[in-house]
Amino acid sequence: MKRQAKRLCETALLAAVGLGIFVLEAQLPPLTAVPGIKPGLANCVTLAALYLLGCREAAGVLAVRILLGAVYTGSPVSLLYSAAGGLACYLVMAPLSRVFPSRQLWIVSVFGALAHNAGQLAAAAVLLGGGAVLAYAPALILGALAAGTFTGLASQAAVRRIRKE
Amino acid sequence: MGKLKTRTFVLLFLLLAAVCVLWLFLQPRGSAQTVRVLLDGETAAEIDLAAVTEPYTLPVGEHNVLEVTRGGVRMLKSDCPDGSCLRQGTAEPGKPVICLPNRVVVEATGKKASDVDAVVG
Repeated sequence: MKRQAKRLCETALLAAVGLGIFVLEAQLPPLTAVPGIKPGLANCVTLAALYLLGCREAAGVLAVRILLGAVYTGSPVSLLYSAAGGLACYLVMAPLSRVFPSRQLWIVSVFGALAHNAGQLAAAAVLLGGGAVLAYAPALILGALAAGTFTGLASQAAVRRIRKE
Repeated sequence: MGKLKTRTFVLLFLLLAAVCVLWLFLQPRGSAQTVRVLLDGETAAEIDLAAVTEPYTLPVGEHNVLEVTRGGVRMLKSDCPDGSCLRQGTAEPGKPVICLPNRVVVEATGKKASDVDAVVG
């Protein structure tokens, strides 16, 4: 019981940190004219939850961030993009986090970022009803590689320090 | 499964990056001749730029206004929260102007209108 309470507490804490980072990042001016290219710093927290707590807890952290993040920053449409990206990202990162050790955590992050952008692009293609958005694909892949590496290394450093590796 | 080497993935990611840079460079260029405007996935307007004599504004749906000149089409007004469509400049072939929240796509092609549609009369 005590262990469970501690776990719930840690999950809630990470969700709060993730939400804080997400809301803060939404205040930054867009980096490029292509929508969807952003640091994705909140993904650090999802990754940390995957490595420090587990798949179920990470799913909770992500769901809380997406739902409450939309309440604080976005519109119903942005919630849809967020959810499409977040779900794709989670579905890729959760199994990979069981395969890669924490010193290769950044690799999981890059794959997650790629999946996130692919999910958003797919959502946009469906919503806009056409392939015109595919013109954004190369820019989005490059963005995901850069952002995924950066947030992955940040998360990796945090996770390994917390685990005292 | 054997041990997954970090180096393999670094190479994989670099390769992917190189492909994307190449992809960006190889995208069709050239000036726009026909511009198609999509709202909610349906064609809302099709503009033959050669036929544009005077610049004008074109409302698309309730949320967006385009500026049409002989040189091209750009987003003039949008009530979307991020306003990124306003910073995307003029639509060019391979470089559409897209407003995600309002589901507006401005797509330019380098072909003449007569190549796209059936020739009339």
